[in-house]
Amino acid sequence: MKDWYYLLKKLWRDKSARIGMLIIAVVAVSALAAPLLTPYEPNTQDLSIAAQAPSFSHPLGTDLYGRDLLTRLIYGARVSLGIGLCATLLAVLIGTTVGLISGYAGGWVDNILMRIVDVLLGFPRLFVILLAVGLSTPSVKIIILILGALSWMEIARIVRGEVIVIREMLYVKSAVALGISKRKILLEYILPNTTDVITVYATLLIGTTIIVEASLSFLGLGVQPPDASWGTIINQGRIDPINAWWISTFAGLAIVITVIGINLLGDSLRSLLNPRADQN
Amino acid sequence: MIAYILRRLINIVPVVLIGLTITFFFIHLAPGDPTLRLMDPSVSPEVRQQVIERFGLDQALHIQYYNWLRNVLLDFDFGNSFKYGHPASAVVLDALPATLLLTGTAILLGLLLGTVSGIVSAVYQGRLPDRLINLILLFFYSMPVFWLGMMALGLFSIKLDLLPASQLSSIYYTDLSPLAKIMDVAKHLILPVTTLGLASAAGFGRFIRASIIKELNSDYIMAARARGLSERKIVLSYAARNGLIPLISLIGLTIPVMFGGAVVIEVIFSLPGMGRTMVEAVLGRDYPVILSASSWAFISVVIGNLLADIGYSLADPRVRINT
Amino acid sequence: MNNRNNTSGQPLIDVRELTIDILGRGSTTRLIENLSFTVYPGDIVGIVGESGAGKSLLCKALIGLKHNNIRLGGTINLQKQDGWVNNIFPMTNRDLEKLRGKTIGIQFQEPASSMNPVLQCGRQIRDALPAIERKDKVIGPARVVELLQLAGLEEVDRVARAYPHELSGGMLQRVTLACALAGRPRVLIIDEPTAALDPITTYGLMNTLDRLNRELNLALIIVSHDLNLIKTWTRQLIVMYSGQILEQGATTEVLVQPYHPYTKALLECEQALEHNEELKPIPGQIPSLLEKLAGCRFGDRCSAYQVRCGQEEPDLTNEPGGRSWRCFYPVSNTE
Repeated sequence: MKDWYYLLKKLWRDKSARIGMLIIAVVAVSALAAPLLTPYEPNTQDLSIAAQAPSFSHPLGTDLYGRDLLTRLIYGARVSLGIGLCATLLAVLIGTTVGLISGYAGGWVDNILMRIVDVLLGFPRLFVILLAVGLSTPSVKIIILILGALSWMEIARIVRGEVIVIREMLYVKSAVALGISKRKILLEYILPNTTDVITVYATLLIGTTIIVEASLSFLGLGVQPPDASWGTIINQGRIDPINAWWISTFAGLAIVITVIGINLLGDSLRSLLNPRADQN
Repeated sequence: MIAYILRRLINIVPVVLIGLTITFFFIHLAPGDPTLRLMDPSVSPEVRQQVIERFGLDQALHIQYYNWLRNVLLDFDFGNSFKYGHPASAVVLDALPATLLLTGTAILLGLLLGTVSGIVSAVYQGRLPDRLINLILLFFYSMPVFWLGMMALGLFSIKLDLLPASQLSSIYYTDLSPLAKIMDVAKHLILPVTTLGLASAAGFGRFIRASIIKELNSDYIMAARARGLSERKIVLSYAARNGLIPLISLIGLTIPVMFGGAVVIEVIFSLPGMGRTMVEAVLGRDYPVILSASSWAFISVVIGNLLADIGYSLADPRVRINT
Repeated sequence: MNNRNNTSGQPLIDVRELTIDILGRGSTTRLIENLSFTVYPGDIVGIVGESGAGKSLLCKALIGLKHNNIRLGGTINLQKQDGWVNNIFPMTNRDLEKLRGKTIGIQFQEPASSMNPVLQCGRQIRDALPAIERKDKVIGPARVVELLQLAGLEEVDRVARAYPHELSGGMLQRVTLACALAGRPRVLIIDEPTAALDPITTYGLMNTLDRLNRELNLALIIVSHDLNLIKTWTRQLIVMYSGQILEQGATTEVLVQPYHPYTKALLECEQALEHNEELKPIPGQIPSLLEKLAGCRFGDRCSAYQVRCGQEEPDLTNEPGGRSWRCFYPVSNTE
């Protein structure tokens, strides 16, 4: 707990990390407090005010069905951030498990697991995700599952690399010599020392996942109406990009700003936690 | 060296086959009946049955797989497209050049912009040019490429009407002289290539900056300075030269990413490429086309990685390929 | 310093009150304090000091090189081919480039890490040549061969074509020596020549350096923690401790009759090692550079410690004949 406090304090002193955290906080809080922030319903259509340009009562305008765009974006943040977070969590879970096992077991287990990682990394990711999502019945749960199940490979590699280094350290060797169980060594001696790299990578992965999900929804393969992620909203704006330019523009800006925030935080985390940056 | 390349090329086959097998079972087990997407729902059950039989969809899955695998291995035949009727390989091959042209030029543009900005940024580390470049790169790095494409399309093609909005060539393309043909395609490619190029430049630039800064801080640079080498020579033929070597393997890793980017770009700019073919095939459950397109995607990626490894060994004398 | 062997004319490098600070977050650490010394043509100066006390930073500072977190103070004056340079520190990098390698050459301690790993050795030596020679298609390669021979290498062509990782540590050391000699410097700084080498290879290298000193009248500044090496190969000696000069003078004089208790203790350690006797370690630890106490730096570890030593810091006492020391109670010089 104290570690986290210390880390936050250090991050707060770093200007770009501070900006990043502020952006993320604003987006996250408005996603959580969505009903309190807006008087409008995200999915109630009113064609009489369809496609209105930004105005005082609708600061970002209305969409083609007369729904308040700002409201849609705030509720969309729940979907986009939610998918980004959950899919990343899933990827971290799978990747860490595979990496721990692969790095600690070594031998043929390591060999097989890393071959699988190689093959999976060799495929064009968006292509495969597209295939998987396109061929299933799209729902938020399925999207999270697919994104998570196809994004864990780098984490597995990084964790494995760390484990191989940590495994050789004296305190782990002495723990082995003392006869402490493998499970305990993995979970209490090795895992805690890999959290730094995982934190860095997971942070950046949230941003990537938000963009991938947006691409899917943009292609009509992701979140289906009336629910909407930011990608879905951009897709709806495509119908009339000139007269209703604000729809896609603002929805896109929501993504850009959020992901910039995440990347700013991730970059700072990397230079704070992981001096061996940019290992491939 | 040649033996090594041959061995690597042979290794491609199992990787692609594993990928295709997974894809095969995945699409056949996934929900969604191809006949329902292909035909009018009001068509009589008898006709539907006929179609199913013609495509062999009534057989047990392992028999379908066996037949499919045999045809693929022996004739590189993926069967006929459900939608178009002619061979799926032909449908995909028709779409391949557009995608290769798009991704190839975009990677070149991305490398050019990324290298220049990365070097400038590293040399001015911490000062104004570096901060400015960093900010711009971060912006493009954090941006969904399809949104950038849409914005560019809306502004330059629709609003300002400066550049064509879709397709790879004009309708009157066949009547043009060879030079005009090239100009025509180039004009159609400006927006998609710039969009995809800027997106990849952001990744390259950030990578190159970090890589060159690492080199600039290393002992051999200090030693070269101590010998009185000019700063220009130190940056260009020492730090940049060494710092750009890891880029070769990054290019290999970028190829799959570029394929993903090409999908959305082709959809936005209605380019007749693999990505768009793939999206349509997925939505229409056109199994042969999906599998054929996947095989090409897998093959290009594996070959890209092979080229990266060879390039790496040529650029860095410490890495020698064991033949 | 008057009693030197082949001293002639003006000094080549004149260091005046050099300070080196490491800038940290909110705190600065002084690594080198008010260091002054002069090197004349043909001198061989040894600087001996404990490990990790900024010897490498000192070597770099002598040619105006530093990392971003380092601040240099004082002045360094240089003799260049066509005149005298007053203080190199305010100079621009572009002007310094013209001095580096040409007036002062430097050989860093790890030969492997001071060569670019992806360029052939010959190419890197050629890069270090003055522009006119480097660009000439005939003179360039010829000079590379000449330099490699000068550095004591055989199989010159093979070495020139080799990449750094293909050569042994000893050969690489000589390749870096060839690089350092490329600009025809009159002073050569050698940072810790023993760092990466076994004793026999070190001996060979020192022999080559000694030959260069005699044949080209090349002045050498050898920086090391190895007193034995300094004793064997240098003529002038500077003993440093905690960033200060504690004793200075002709090597033979200082080591035969050390004035400073620290030098004496160092010498005893060295002799014990040589005769396989029981080691008499200097008690205590090197003082932390962060918390500087009043009085003599060596104070609490000194065998001759008196009350005064803990209260005020001794100044450098200079004796005619070039010897100086920083001690209130010098060992065998009691008045």
